[in-house]
Formats: sequence, C-alpha cells, structure tokens
Amino acid sequence: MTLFVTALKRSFHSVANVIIIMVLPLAFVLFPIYEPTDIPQGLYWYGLIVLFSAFLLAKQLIDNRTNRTIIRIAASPISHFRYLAIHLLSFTVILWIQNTVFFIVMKLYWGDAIESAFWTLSLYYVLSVTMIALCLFWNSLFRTYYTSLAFFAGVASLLTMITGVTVPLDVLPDSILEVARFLPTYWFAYGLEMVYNGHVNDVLTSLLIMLIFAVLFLVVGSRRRL
Amino acid sequence: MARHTDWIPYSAIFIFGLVLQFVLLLSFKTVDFTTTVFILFLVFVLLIAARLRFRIPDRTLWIDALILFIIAYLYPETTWFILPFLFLVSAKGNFRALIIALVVLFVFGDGEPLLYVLSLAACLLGSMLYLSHDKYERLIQNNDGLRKRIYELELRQDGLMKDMTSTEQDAVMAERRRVSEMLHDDLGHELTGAHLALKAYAHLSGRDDAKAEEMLSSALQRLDRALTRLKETVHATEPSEAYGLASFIRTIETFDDYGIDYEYRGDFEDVPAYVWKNLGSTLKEGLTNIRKHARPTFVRIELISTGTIVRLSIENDGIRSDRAASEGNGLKYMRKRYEAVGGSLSVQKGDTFLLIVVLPIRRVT
Repeated sequence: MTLFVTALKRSFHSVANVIIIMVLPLAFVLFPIYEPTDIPQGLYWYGLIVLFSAFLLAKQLIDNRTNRTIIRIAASPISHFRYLAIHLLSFTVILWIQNTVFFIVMKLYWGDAIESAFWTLSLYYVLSVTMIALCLFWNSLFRTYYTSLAFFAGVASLLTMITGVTVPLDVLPDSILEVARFLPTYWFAYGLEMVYNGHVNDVLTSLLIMLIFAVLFLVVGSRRRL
Repeated sequence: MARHTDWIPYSAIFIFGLVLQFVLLLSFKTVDFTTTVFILFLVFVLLIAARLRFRIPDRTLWIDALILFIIAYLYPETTWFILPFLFLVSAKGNFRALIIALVVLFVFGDGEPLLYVLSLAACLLGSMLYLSHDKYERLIQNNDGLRKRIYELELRQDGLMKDMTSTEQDAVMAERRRVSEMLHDDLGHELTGAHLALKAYAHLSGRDDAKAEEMLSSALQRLDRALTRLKETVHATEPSEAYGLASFIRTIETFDDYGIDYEYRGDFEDVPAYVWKNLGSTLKEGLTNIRKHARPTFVRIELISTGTIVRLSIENDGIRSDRAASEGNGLKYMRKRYEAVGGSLSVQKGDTFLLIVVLPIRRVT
C-alpha cells in the first residue's frame, strides 16, 4: 500500500503532470462534432491525452532506473513483479479516474450526442491499460527519459494521426489504414466508431485486440533493466 | 584469442533475424489479414514474445508448433506465420518442432513457391546461427572450466602455503625435541658416567691407585664415546639443503652477468627457513626475468632484516619498451605466495624496474 500511495503522490509532483492529466482533458470537451459521423471529436482526441498521460506517468519507472533507485528497490524485500504491478496499478487508477471524469463532463456538455456510456468507457479503460503498457515497453527501449521523450513526441503524434485518433478514419487512405491496423490506437478509434454504428461485436473485437496488445507490451516491456 | 567483446551477441542477431522474418511475412502482402487472422497473428507474436521473455525451455517448442498446425488447419492463410517460427526453431536447434513446422509448411503451404523459398532461407539463417552459437557456447564452457580449474588450484596453493608455515613451526619444535632427546639420552648419560668416574678417581687417588687408574680409564672411555655422540648429533642435525644468507649470496653470484651490486643489513639469525625459501625463489625468478627480458646497465639487490620484517628489493634499468606492460604469471603466482604468508610483493616501473618484497618474520616460541 505504501508503494501504491507513493506512486500516486509522485505522479502529481510536477505541475506539467497535473495540467496534462487533470486540466487539459477538459479543453478537449469543447472540440466540435465531426459532421459526417455526428460524433464529438473530443472523444477521439482524448486518446491523445491518454497516450501522453500514460507516458508522463510511466516517467517514474524510467526515472527510477536513471537515478539508480531501481537498484535500491532491487535490494529491498520486494519482487520486481510486485514493484511493477503496483506502479502500473496506480497509473491505471489515475487514468481510469481521468477517463470517468472526462466522460462525465463530455456527457454533461454534449448531452444526447454522447451515446453508450458502457462501451465508450470500456474502450477508454482498455485504451488506458494498453497505453500504459505501450509506454512501459517504449521506456524499456531507452536509457534516459529525455531520449525516450524526444522520440516519443514524434512517434506518438504520427501514431495518433495515422490511426484515426486525431484525423478521422474516413479521411485516411486505405494504404495507411492497412498499416494502421497493426497499431493499437487504430482499434480504439475503430471501436469508438463501431460504438456509434451500434456494432457491439466489432467493439468487443477492438477491446480484445487492444488487450492482446497490452499483454504483448507488458510481456516485452516488463524486462528488468538496472 | 578473440575477446568476448569482439563477438556480436547471439541475441542481437537472433532478434534481428526474427524481426526480419516478420517484416518478410508482412511485406509480401500474401496474407489476407481479416480480423480473425489478425487476432491469431497477435496471439502468435505474443507466444513468441512470452517464450523469449520468460525463457521457456526450448524443448516445449513442439507445443507452439502444434498450435501453429491447428491454426493453419482452421485458417490456411496463417501458414505464412511459419516463416518466423521456422527461423526460431532452427536457431534454437529444436528438430522435433522443426519437423512439425515443416509438416505444416508442406501440408498447408499450397505449393506456394515464394513461401518455400523464404522458408528455406529462414531455416538456413536459423541453422547457421545455431551452429555458430553452439560452437561459441562450447568454447565458453571450456573457458569457464579452465578458469574454475585455475581458481581451484590457486585456492589449493594458498592452502598449501599456509600449511607450509605452520608445518615449518612444527618441524622446528620437533627438531628441538629430537636434539634435546639425543643430548639427554646419549651424550647426557656418557657425560654423567664420566663425571662420576672422575669423582671416584679423585676419591681413590692415593688410597687405592689400581682402582683409581681403572676409574680414570673408564672416565676417558666415556668422554671418548661422548665426543663421538656429539659429532654424530651435530652431523645429524645439520640440514642437508643449504639455506640462509650464504646460500642467498651464492645464488646472486651464479647470476652475476651484469656486475650485480648487492647489499645486506640487519640480523638474519631469526629469519625462518620458509622465508629464505621464498626469498630464494623470488631472487631466482627476478634474476631470470632480467636475464630473459631486460638489457640492464646495472642490477641492484638490497636485503634488509629489521628483526620483524625482511625486505628484498631488486632493481634494474633494463626496461624494454617492446615488452608487454602487464604482469607475468611468475610475478602473479609469487604475489599469491607472499600474500598467503602475510607478506607483499610490489612492482614499480619508472626509469627502472623495481621489485620489492616484504615478509614478516614469525619467531618460533
């Protein structure tokens, strides 16, 4: 519990974290409805916020490695699995709260334009877990946070652009969509579209694929690096 | 011998090969990635990732091959997943899984020439990696075995050196006891007998001359025997192997090719035999090294005993720049020997090469 609370507190140590995790999502509520699909664009764009929030939260783990805290933790009576699980759980809790608050505000602002709370929130919750796992994996590739951030800023922008998060799926060419299918955020945008089209089976498929991505990233990214 | 760092890590080549197979699989657009096939693809990637991440024993690879078989049976387009798998099993040298994978390839491959060519390439690449890695592993194992053997021998040597010092002390005590027994049993009895005979002679002299003469003769006989015993005892206690300062100087003189300048100071009476033995072997090693590796204009040897330590220094100015700067095995083993008996050996390299040995003197009490 101590580690869990510490991880929660450390997540809000920096002002940038507080702004991006707590305040910035509210600005996305104001994004207009995309006419061809009648879906408020904020619902999609929020995926970008989840991605960057997860990255900021996962900073703790790479920081622990950079400033050698991980070596002291390795010497303490706590397994690497437990250390990782507690941190990931605390990040998930923060993002799930953010998801819920964002959705409630969206609902209050847009009213009936927001449909199917259950499936939309499910997509957000699963996306949050997948993005945390992705960031864990991403950070495991780099030695320092700033190198990781430098690459991530570019890759994340491109990732959200070609997978339908910041650019609507129906304007993306087929050749890009073929590649985008291999990226997890595509299935979030696709799932959201299916929620509004009423295809529950496709939403379930999206959730399943995102979960498989999450497990894959966790498996590869959970490698202990000292 | 090639250093380990020169070796491109097996895992790096392995990951590269595996990624290459996935790239080939995706780039030829031969697989129609319907949602189901895509999910199966993800599960397949997850299986391989989990196997690599958690170091699942390679002998269970046949289970993965069987899963591939079932998937390929249900969805023949997934036969292309065999490419990375063939590389994996070839690189791991798992022939049972390789056979199952080849069965999948030939049963569900549908006579696709490109698939066969790429599969062959994957098998060849994986097998080459396996064979080279296998050889490398064997070399590493041999190397580790030799290192372990050296480590064990060094440990044994340390133990023997420690034993040597204590045996030396035991031997001195035993020798003292033996000498004292000899003096008491042989020499002591004869001298006591002679002493008593002389006393009797003094008492009888002038009263009974015949008896007195007999006593004197007996005393002289006993003194003769005592002298013989004394010579025998001295002869028996004299060490057969020479050691000590005289032997040390003799060793210097046998190596005197360069006009060795030597000097000794202090009292060497209490220096124990094992110290002389160590100093002697160091002297021989040092002078042999100079003879072999150096071209000196002078060699200076200094031996000092302070009563608690003995310090030996050997200095020469014949350092050759073409000689490797690293310490040789001779010096390394010598250092070990000195450390085992509480001493030290150091080397100073500047304009001259200076070898300094310090050994504590443990007095036998």
